[in-house]
Amino acid sequence: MKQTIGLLTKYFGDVVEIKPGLRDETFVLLKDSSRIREAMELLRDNGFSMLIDLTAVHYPKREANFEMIYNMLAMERMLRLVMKVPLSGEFPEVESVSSVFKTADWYEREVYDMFGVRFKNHPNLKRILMWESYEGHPLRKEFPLEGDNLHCYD
Amino acid sequence: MTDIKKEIDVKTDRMIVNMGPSHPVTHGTLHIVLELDGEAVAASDTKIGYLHRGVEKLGEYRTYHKFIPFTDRLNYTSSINNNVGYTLAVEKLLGIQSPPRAQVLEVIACELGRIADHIVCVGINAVDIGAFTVFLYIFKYRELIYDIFSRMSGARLTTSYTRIGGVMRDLDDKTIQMIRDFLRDFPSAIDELEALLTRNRIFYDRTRGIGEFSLEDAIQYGYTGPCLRASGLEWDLRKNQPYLGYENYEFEVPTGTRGDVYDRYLVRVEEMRQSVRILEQAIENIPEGPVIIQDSRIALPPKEDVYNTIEGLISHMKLVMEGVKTPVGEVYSATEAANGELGFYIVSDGGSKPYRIRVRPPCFPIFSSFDEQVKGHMVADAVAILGSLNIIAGELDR
Repeated sequence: MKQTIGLLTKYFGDVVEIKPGLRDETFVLLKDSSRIREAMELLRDNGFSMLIDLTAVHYPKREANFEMIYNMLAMERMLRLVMKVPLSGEFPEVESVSSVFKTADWYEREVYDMFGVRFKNHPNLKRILMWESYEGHPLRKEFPLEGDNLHCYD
Repeated sequence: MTDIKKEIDVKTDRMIVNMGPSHPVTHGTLHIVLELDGEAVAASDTKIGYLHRGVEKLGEYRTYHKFIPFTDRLNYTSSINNNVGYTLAVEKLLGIQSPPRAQVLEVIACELGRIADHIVCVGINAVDIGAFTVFLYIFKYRELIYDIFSRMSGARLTTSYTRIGGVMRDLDDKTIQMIRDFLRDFPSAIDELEALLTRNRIFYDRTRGIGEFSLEDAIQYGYTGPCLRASGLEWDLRKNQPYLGYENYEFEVPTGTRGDVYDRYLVRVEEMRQSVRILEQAIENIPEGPVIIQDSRIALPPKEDVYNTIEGLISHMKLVMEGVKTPVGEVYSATEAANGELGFYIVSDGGSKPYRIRVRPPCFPIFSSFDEQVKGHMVADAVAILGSLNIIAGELDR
């Protein structure tokens, strides 16, 4: 893990910040969201061959109100690394990593569907769990649990 | 003779065929739009979300305990594995471990759940291809497992067996005897299953080379579980990142070579045998002691204390009304569920409800590769591939 962190700080310098996790996780904060694809390629070529999960968290009170979470797994060395990328704006945009990991295609569609984060250069950015004509993004904090009234049966 | 060649060159119209959302082979509500060139699949488009219930959103509004019943409804063929996966994640967040006896009970529950899941997958896959007998032979044992679950937890399908810091109830002698009886009879059932399928010429022809997936592709697509092992990588979280004391059990991780439907079938069958091995070791070595952590801030105190002491009553009430207090932070915990890596990513803001709970379903990334796998195969092979991937819509759509 030290090796990977050394590599990340060498290539990204101040842009990355290593944060120890609550238990045994390693969190890497990538402050510049435009370099995510580069970071993913670097990690993929250095053992982190699998993107286990890709999701987001909504923090409406923070200035950077979305945080992307890229959950990486190095299979040979059995290491896990969570890369976090803060984004800001009502509908923030970030570069798609689906060209680095094919599995990111659906995950990014889900994040787009649930949070409204746009992905640049995504091959097929459509809603995946909700239907096409649906408006709103259910996993945002301001979205009410009971759903919006637009789609109630009356 | 030349006429035949001419006929092959004839341009055909492509036909669009809808498989699902309500179709017997989709096992849940999946919608696959196949574009056919004759009988071959030229392209396909998968649409999911018909079973989306917003489990992650619901989790943000409930205390950590109240999310356990929701995990039953993820992969509903082996709900007990999801219960274990979720409570392990919360235990990791709290920094606690369940007592040794509870860990062994969880291992027993997990392995029984894995066998039940593989029975469903293998049985249904064979039915889809046309081998109905296997289904009838092997589903008897799934019933026996569900009888055991029903004695362990009180429910057959929606088990909700685990609690934060342990399990809900101890095993009684009758249940242990039922598990022993099951372990005595089940290996011969696997032999029967293999006698019916493994060297069956029709089954072999229908599955060999179908949906072949290379290891590089499998890793690119985030495959885990039996499908990844069928592609040739010896990867099992029970071995590679042991939890619940899996390092103390002797078992092997089966792998395939070609990653096709036949290999996935073989891997699942062998995994059932290995699960029997783990169960045999676990059932003989259940340590004595409590089955849930003795901490009234995390687990409900025993009923005698609640009715007879004021401390017990207060802690019971506080736990029910307020829930468990958690530290601020984020954890990711993964377990090897029957389908692959089932992960829970919990973001806690220090309250008794998760700020964000993310379920990493094993079959979501696997199903995203379906379009690529099915291309060039026959329509009937699409059914075989779908069955072998073991897509469970509850877990896929959450």
